[in-house]
Amino acid sequence: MSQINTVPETTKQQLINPNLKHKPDTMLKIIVRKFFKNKLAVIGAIILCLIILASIFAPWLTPYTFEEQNLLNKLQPPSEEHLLGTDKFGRDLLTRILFGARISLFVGFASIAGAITIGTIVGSVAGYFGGWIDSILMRFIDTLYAIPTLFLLITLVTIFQPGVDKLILIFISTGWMTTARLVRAEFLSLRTREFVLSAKTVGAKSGTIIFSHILPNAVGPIIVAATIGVGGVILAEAGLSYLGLGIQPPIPSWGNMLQDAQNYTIMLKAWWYPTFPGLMILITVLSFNFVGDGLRDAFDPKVNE
Amino acid sequence: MTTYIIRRLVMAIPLLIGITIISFAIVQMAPGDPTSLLMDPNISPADRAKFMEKYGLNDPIYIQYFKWVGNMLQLDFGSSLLKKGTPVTELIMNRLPNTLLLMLVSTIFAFLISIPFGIYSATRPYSKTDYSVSVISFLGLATPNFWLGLMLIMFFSVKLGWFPTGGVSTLDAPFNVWDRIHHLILPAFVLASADMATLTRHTRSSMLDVTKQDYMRTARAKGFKERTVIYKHGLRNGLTPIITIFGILLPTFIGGSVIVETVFSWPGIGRLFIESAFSRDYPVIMGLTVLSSVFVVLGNIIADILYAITDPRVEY
Amino acid sequence: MKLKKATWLLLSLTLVFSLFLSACGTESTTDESPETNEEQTNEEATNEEQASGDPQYGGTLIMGSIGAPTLFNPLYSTDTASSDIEGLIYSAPVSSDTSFEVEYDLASDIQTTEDGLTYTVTLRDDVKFHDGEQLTADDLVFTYSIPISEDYVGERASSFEMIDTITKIDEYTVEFKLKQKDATFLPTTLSYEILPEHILKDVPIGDLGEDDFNTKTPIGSGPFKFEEWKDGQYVKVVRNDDYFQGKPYLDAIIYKIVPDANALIAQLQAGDVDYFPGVPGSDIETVKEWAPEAGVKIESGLSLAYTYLGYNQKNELFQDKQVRQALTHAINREAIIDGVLNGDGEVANVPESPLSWAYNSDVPVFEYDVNKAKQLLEEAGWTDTDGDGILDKDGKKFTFEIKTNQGNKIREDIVVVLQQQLKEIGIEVTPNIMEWSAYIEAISAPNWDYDALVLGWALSTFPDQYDIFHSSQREEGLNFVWYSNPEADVLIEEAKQIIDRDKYKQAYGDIYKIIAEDQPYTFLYYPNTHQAMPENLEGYIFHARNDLYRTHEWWLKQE
Repeated sequence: MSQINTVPETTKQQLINPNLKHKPDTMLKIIVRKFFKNKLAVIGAIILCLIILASIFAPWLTPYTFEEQNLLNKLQPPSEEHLLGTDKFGRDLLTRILFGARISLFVGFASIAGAITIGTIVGSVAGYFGGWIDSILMRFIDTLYAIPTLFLLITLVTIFQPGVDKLILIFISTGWMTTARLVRAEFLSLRTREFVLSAKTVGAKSGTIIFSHILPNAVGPIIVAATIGVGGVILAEAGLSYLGLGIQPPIPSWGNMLQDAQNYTIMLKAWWYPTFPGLMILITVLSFNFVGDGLRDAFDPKVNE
Repeated sequence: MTTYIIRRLVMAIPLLIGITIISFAIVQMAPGDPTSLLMDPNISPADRAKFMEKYGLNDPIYIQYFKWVGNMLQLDFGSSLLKKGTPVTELIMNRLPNTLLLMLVSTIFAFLISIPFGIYSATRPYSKTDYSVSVISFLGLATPNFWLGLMLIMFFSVKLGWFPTGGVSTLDAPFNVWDRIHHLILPAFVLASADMATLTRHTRSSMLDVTKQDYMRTARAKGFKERTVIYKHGLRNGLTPIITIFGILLPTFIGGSVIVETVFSWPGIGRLFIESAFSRDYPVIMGLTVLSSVFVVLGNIIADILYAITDPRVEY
Repeated sequence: MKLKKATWLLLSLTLVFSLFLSACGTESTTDESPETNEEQTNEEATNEEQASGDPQYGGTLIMGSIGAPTLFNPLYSTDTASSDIEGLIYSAPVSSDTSFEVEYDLASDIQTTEDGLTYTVTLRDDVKFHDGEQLTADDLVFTYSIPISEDYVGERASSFEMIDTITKIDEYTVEFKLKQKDATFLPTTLSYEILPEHILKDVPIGDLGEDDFNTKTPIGSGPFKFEEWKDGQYVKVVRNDDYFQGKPYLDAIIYKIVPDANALIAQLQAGDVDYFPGVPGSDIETVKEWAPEAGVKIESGLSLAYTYLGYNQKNELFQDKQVRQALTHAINREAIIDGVLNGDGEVANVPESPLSWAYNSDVPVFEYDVNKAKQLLEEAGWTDTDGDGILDKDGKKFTFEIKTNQGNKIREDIVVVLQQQLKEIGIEVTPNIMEWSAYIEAISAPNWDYDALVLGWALSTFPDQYDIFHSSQREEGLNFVWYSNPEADVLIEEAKQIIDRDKYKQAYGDIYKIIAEDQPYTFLYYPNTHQAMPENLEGYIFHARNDLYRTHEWWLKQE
């Protein structure tokens, strides 16, 4: 990112902090400081950390286990014993949400990290070089979009033992194409901009131009795709469990908790059952989004402190 | 541009062949066959074997593929193994208009709501309105379609009686435009709700980028009204991710609406696909795969053309 | 243990639709209809008729169904939805009444010879097809000759394979000669509906399954005429004024397809569906709360089906009968019924429904008794030697996988509860929920790739355990748990030759004793079904295997 200053600083409508002007800082320090100035981003990061910590220390935070059933005590509304109520097996919902965060967050973040990385690399290469490289990569993506993935998934069940690692692999391999196309589209438009052309004239290497000049300007759609993707993966995980892939009961995840609650009577009479897992997904996605926005602004040289 | 489009269409042919070969293999490889549904003591293994024989399902996959391609080139997609004798094209054509209508209306919903909201958010970043828009759009993302659909049915249809509980039109009634619209509103809204998060966030993000650019300042400096600046200069350049999303959404009509079609008893392609997939109705699955591939290719070509139109600097 | 029509398709369709929904209802996906006692029903029916005055003509009944039909030809369709509609359009020589006794429909008389090898069927002479043609012996000969033909490509041949010859005696009489004595011929084979010869005679038998007749223009002699089928939406049938059992009262029945059970309940509540014969047990209490307000009445009862936990007896873990008995002792079936089914079912001990005339509850019962279970397992050599809470024997831990199909929420929930219950006696269970077709491929011949499974059987009106528990059915048939007991084999074979009902029941009493003692399955429960219908629907009669029984007598009371 050391070359980032070569991007012309054009917009200076925002207030410049005069105290910092005289003393040049390292890039990283500026980014970190810019990030921490963004209150919402910091709050988002704190919430995410809290959820992660709570899921790690779940066994010490709750007197129940996630699999302990009490059928006589099923579908109880929130109470002192069960702060968020119980599910249809009489299991404590709070406990399951805490343990469920392990699977949901891990699968969500790991899959998206992988998908975004691959998508960004493929999209950058396709968009930057264009021509036949672009054609081949894009047609490959078309193929992946068009084949009936459902059958691939059903087949996978018979070949592999289900597990979190398989889930993540599946989400990465089916999720990177969207990012790739978003990044490619940005690159198509950015690669003819003046700053890229000037970098080329100076003789910068393709890799340098891609990663130091264009990519920082294409970070917006990537962060949005990542945010949306995290939410999507957390929800979709449950669907895959139903094909026999991934998490099998009684291990909780937010997705399969939501799925368990999809019943006429439960929806009408046990509002807490779908609501709390859904709320956790919402909070996670929102926090992640604010952290993402914070990061983007922190990395964006056009946004000043 | 015309030569570009022609080139792309010509390139689509080998692509389609590739897709059909891979799909055919994948579909056949999946465990189970159409007789998995016949776990009935009244149906003997011999009957099942006869069935497999009659429909050539015991032949090697490549023979089955060549037979299928041969017929397909004469636009014969075969007939369903489940609804014996019903041509695949008939099954698809019965359902396609319903799904296309639903997707069209929901996409219009999603775009009409998301883009203004996204722009509004971007012009007032970090304001209360911006946060509200964020929360609402992510609410759409975190709410499963199934749950939202059923809740809307229970509230608006059962309790208030404002909308029908499902279907494309009133049962057994003559065609009536208002009736059709009436049936469309809830499912289209539910389908749009999930896309809205994506579209709003992308619009906001790219408009935020765009508003920082030189030409926007220039435009403002020239004394254009803020509105004109945003919509005429900004939006045009901020459209790129929206176009990409549009290109991706276009072919998702097959799988994307399964849940909504199921909850709202909408006789669409999504349900047809899922039904066929689970009963291993190979001819129908392959017919739908071809249809889906065509839309993937079209979606991409349209997106690529739109990039070039909105941003003249884009070259291929 | 025969299903008259495969309910499997409906079952799988149900799960198809709930792929990402998990919304699927109860076991009622495997069974066709609920039950009441015959006497009780008849009494009710008479009372109602007296109370509500003379039947009135008119009105349309909208029936909601989760499954969608495929085609309307009884010799080619395999799903419940199609079979429901075939029952409206066509009629058969015999049907079964509410206590599953043979009841003449098109037949006016059926004579059997002493040796049980010749059946003479006399048809009514006042029956017309919907197009006005007379139904005669030719139609019966034509229809029943199709599945025994070499060219026939359909799934129904095995129901007709006992037939040797079919001969027309006169205009309304047909003689069937059988290859061997077969108790299922009268109740099962003769319940296949008759097709019109004058329309289909020129269609090559090999192409009949794909003929447009089946999907566009089915013509039968049933109480309702086919009018319209909108794929994925509804099938509409209208009154057949010339129906031989009497002109139906209803103008029309619309068979509406609502693929999601939850949405179907909402439609019932909103009045967009009138009749829903499969309200899931998990929702019945909720439905009952608003039923009076919505003008809906509910009839509930046991259905002709059971759900079980099957043990793969190829797996050495389950080869010892004592271990299987111990497992049944360890499973609290009452708790499963109360907890998972909301009390909506009965504990099962035999592979036959209490509704059946062949039901026999005088069998060894393995009640919930954890200590007994532990003791039996210890005798079989299973103890926890390393103190990790899991039983072991010869260094091998007692752990196994239970497979079940995705989409049937009840079964998934049962597996979760089983896992917990078996953990208490030191057995570790891993659930594996699979997509239907993959599941079937895994569990059945030639893979048998499973340890234990949860599944259900819908029972036919005529009890026969050959296909499921006879050892000859292991290699290819439905005995995929590999149950084998030579004693049971002999008794099951012998029973096939018994035409006398009482002797048959006696023979099956012994068979059930052996099977119950061997516990090839842990029989879990018999599910209930619930039928919701308009308050003003009169003339309705329960039938545990037929949701549309005697529809020509149904009528809607108008204000």
